Amino acid sequence: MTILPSYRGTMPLEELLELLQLVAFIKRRGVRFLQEWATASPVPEVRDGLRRQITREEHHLTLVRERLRALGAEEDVSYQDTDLENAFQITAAAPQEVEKLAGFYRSIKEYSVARCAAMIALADPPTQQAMDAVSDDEEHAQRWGESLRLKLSPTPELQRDGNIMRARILEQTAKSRERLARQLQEKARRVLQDAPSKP
Amino acid sequence: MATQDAADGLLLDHQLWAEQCKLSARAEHGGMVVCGLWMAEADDVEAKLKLARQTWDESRHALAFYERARALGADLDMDPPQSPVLQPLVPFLMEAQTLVERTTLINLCVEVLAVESFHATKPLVDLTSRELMDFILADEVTHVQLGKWVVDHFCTTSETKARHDEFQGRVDEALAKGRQILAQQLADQAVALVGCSVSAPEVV
Repeated sequence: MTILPSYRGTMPLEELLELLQLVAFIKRRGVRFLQEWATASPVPEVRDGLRRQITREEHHLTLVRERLRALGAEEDVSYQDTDLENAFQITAAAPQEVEKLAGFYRSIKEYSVARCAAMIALADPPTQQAMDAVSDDEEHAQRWGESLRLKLSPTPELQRDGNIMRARILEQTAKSRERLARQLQEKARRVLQDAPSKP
Repeated sequence: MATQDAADGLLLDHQLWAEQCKLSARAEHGGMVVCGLWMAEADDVEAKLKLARQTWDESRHALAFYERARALGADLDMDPPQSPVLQPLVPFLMEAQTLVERTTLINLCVEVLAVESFHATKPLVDLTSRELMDFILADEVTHVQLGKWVVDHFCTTSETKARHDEFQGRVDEALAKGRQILAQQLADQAVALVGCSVSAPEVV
């Protein structure tokens, strides 16, 4: 990785690149998930909305790729997050549209927006601008998904099923956060072990 | 009420959102107290002045959330239940003794959580609440940047930086556990409260 003397973010460059790779993974996986869902959905309003969303997700992926390149890195298409992959699989396997809407728009998107928010606070100005644009789009997408979920949930049972799905996905995204926190600790402990001991 | 909420763009359950504003007010109020105490104990003048600004910000946020909760019809009290996400942080409040540990805990963990939660919740609330959250978000981003300033200013060796990372990693892990507790609570709530339109967000 090239060290860029012009990088002006508060967040360490290495940490920023890791976050961008994570968002790129969510976008790549999200496009695949939405394409499969749009093909199979029995609800015309869902199908039409998803097709529009796929275009936006692809655009976000382009923005993330551009930032990675500008920062001296390339998109790592082999990047994986097991817990998020589980979250996508759980959502894709849900039999009801309201569960899919809750799983993706209310939960996976929430995690994705959170990662963008961290970059808005601490990345370099061009990445902050790109993440601002993604975040604005995500806001519209979340409102669309949640409005549709409420419209398609006329019964208490359907609302309950959506809320249970939200809890299941939150559990997965919490595990992903836990893993990242442990990685940070392990790396720090290695540095401390290698440091010369004080007299 | 539901028609008015729809007109205002509120997609969350009205009562749950009002309760959430109360929780947020309490969290901001707690932030104000902690920040004020740590500001008084800070030795570095520049850090002290920055923490004084943050204390003032937190008080404005607490007041704004109390007023929003009142406008939404919630009864106000100073001691509503603590968010489950924040509960695992209590031992760290006692452990954090240095300025770096304290700002890491509040500015780089809790404030980052606040920024993330606001971005996640904002799309689902009414227009007035959205404007309020935008106003608060701008301050929260500044607080996160203050946390980074403290780390950059005081952690000047690889060892002090690693100590900071290790502490932040432990706090982040505790927050992740808090989110898992929240997930369980949401699942239980969903089963118990069939018919509740949406579950409450985990805003701090």
